[in-house]
Amino acid sequence: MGVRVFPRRMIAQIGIACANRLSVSDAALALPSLYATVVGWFRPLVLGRVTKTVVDFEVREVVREFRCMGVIQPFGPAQLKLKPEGQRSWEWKMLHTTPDVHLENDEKFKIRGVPFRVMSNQDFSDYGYMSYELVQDYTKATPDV
Amino acid sequence: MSKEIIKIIALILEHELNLKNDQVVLTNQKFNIPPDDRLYVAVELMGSRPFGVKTAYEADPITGELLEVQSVNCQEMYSVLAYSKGPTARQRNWEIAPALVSTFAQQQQEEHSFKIGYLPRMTDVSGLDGTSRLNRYRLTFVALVAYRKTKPVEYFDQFAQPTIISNP
Repeated sequence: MGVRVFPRRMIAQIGIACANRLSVSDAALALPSLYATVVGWFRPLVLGRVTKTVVDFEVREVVREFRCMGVIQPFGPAQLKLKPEGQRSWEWKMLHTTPDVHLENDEKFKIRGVPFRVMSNQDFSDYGYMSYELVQDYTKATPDV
Repeated sequence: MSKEIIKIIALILEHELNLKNDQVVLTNQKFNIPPDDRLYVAVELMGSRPFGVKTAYEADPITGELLEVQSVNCQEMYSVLAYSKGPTARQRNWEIAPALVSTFAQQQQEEHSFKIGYLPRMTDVSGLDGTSRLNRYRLTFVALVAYRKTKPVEYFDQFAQPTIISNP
């Protein structure tokens, strides 16, 4: 039985020499996109985009709601902070969305009536998703106070 | 003294600043601060400087028993921390000084026999809490108070029968 011998030039085209010609960004794009997977995992969400304006030397926030697809998970433990004047416990969550949702740090929205604010964001849009870290935010005072 | 001075000061602030029951607390309580932007006040006893300490004796007017009376006069320093996520603490911190000299405050001082200093000193202690930097202002002032404690003591009016030993 004869042994097939590939010409040296043909091996160079399909082997390591081919990868050497890829730039870092091209190699990154060659990684698998998780979009098809995460879309099946995502659910409809209603987020709110915050616009800030200065009125009478103070910042006023206006929230405009929009719909998107994503998933929310607990991010870290809600740790109790003891202070002389009292104690607080802020809840942290992680948000993944489709790449078309670009939230900036400090964006604010509600999850089941509880306001949260974006504290950090990670752009994984090349792989089909965006990742955000959220922390519970303050509410407005009751109207009679 | 039937009531703690710090609780009377908290009552004066709640009454004069028209705050609700959950907006004024003493420090070091396991109080869950609501995550809203209302004004909150925490009252703290920072320390005291006694300027008169005395022990005296008097007879119980009913039983005639000897009583020891310990008393101390102090200058106590109190701190009021006013804080809010919104601008309320910045806008209303000035109300604390006139609250301490209000008619209600004078009535409370008269009823409980103590004296609040007139002019508090205010310091900005704003800091990060959660997603915001809170507006926090600390006002310190002194109060002149007196404490008294009475308890029975032994009175040496009975002696053992003396034994006289002489040489035989």
